[in-house]
Amino acid sequence: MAAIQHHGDVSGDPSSGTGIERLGFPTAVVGAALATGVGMIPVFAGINGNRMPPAATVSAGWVALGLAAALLVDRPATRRVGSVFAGCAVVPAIVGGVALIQDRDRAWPAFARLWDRYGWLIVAAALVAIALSVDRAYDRMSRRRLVWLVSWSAALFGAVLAGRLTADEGRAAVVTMIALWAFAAAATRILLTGELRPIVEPLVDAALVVVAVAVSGALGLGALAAGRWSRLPSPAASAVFVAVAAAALSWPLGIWLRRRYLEHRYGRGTLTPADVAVITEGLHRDADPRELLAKAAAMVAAASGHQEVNIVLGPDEPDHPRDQDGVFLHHALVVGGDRVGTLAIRLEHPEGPEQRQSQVVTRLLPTVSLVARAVELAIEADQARQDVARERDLERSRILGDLHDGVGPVLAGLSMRVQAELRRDPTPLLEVLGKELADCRGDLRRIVSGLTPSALHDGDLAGALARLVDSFAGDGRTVSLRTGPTLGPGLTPEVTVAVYRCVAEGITNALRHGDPSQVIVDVGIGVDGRIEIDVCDDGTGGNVVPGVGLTSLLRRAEQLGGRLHVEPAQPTGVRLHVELPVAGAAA
Amino acid sequence: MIGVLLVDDHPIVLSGLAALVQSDDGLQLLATARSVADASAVTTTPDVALVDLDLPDGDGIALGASLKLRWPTVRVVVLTMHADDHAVVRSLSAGLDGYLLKDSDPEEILAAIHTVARGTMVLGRGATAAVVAAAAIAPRTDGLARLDTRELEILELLVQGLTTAQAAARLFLAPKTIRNRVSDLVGKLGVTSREDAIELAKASGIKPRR
Repeated sequence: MAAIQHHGDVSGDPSSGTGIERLGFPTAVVGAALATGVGMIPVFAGINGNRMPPAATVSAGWVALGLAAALLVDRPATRRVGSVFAGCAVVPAIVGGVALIQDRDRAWPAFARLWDRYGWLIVAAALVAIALSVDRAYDRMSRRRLVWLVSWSAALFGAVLAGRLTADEGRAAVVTMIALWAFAAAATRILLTGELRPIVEPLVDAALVVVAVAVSGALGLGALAAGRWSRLPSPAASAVFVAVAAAALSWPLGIWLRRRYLEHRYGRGTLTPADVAVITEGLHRDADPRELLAKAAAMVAAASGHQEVNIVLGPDEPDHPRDQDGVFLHHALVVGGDRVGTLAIRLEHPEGPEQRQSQVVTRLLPTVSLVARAVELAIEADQARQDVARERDLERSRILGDLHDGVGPVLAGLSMRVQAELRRDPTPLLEVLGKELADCRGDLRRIVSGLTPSALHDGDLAGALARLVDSFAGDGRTVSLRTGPTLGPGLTPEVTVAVYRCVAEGITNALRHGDPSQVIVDVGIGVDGRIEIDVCDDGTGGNVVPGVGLTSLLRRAEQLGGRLHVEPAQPTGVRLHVELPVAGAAA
Repeated sequence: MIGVLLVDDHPIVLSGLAALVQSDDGLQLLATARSVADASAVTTTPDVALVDLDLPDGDGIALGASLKLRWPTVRVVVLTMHADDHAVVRSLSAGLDGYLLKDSDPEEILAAIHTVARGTMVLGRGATAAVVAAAAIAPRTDGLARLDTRELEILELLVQGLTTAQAAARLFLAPKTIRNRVSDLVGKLGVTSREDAIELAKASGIKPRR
């Protein structure tokens, strides 16, 4: 359970410096320059006409360290190692001094002898001193810096030794000088640069080059052998041509391999148009906008080379449960000053992401923030819509409940009164009143049951339809229901309610206008996967003028992406046909 | 002759019932009452009492039970607008003899009085339709109606057995956000713990929507 809050890059402490430095007089640099000047004395002393003896050449190599010192001592982070470099610049002068003490009269030969005998040892000592003076904080860059420096030191020392063992004194001196200059340049760059790659990367580069050269060479040798065997006029030329061609062809392959390797380590570094296409792919189709977050997180992971990236909505800092091992780096997603979420990155390395990975993430943060905000708004809108719909249903239930409780008893009481009178003294008027009151009670019942979705609270559509249809039967008419076996599971509440209301309104309509003896309700899933509802009656039929009920039904069907139409049935009657998509509205 | 006592607070219903009872030669209207107090003041022993479920000063079922205690031979039928499963069960377990809907056909009510007077229990015929209607208008009395969509969403996931962390991952929210909302909904539901809330949700048949 661990998380790191990202604080952005911490810039180095500004140099406090001494009084003189604040006046623009960098004493450390002046010191380094002086050391370099002192180190130059043996070089100038050694120049004899246009000839430069080996000892002077070697001394000239050390001067490079002085120049590097001038660049390094001015920065707090490299001040110490810079001082050591400056110290190295004085080495020729010190050796010269020792030679003078040894043999005052023949100082120069003594100087050359010292260099020749102990030069490699002095180089080794200087390298050790430099390595020890490098800042060894336990972070990744410091460690990498040391590794690079030691590698370059090894290369320098190897060159010096190789020169001493294989070449004459003059050449060895030149090799040493060049190696010292190269080391000074490389060390300056290593010590001053902010980001260092792990040393394996150039090794991979080198390995790729070696493989390419080896393969080309082998192919060239093969071509040479083949040319000789087949007695070509100039087998060597063909062999060279083959080798060069192979090398040229392996170049793009090597580049590709290298890029793949770097992508694997650091990600692609940016979002490609293909990535954006993947993110936005199901934008019109997916019902849950949260899927967008998963995709955006995956894209950040791909672009920045992380294995696991999560986006969490809301202002709360996510805490990671114990079973999720690892350390997470949190970036706040902020839009308009409000924290809309958090981008959580699982760190593969305890010291955090590589600098370039952080840069990629930082670059993508505004976009991710906007995506998170958009998704949040979409979710909120959807929830508000559902809240309103539920409120509306509750309100409707309340109104219908009031209607039922208020008008119901009145109708019941009146019915009883009329019936009582009818029993004592039957007249045609009372009979009509009695029948009309009974119809009124039935209508009330139907309005209440037909318009409320609460009959569907248990989600059993087929059962609710059966009860609904039952409630209409009687008075010498039959209302029958046929439901398909697939009806029920997988329907959204909206569609379930719509089906229920279509059936209720369809039967009500048929009974009200057509005076049928039979109403057949057929609800099922059609061949194209849509729900089909048919309400057919054998009543008088005729031109059906859509009333409030049918119109609201039509609107509801259209909202859900379905359709409704009413047509004459054969031989008489009316057929109401409704089609609804199973999943509800598509847009 | 069957002596009938009518208890209902709705004047139109009461007068209708009275007229209906008087229209039947086999029935004699002994008294009408509009409240529990009125009914308790009745002194003549009725054979059948029709009692409304909701009375201004009390509960019809309790009144019916007390009437039966007072006159062990009396048959009590609940007469109401609401076909409520719980009320039916409550009436019958209180030892009452029937459950009728005011919405029933008037002849059916008369027939029921005769039936119950013979010692048979009555439950309203054609109750199916009324049950549908009554179930339809029954507001969701459970506390779930007080929750908003985002709370319901979380509750549904918890009912499915997801942990806070899993629900958080599913909804792309921080576990802390989930815990806050759960404590909100626990408060709204009037229960004391998350487990109680889950039990309550299961009891009211909450189901995953997708």
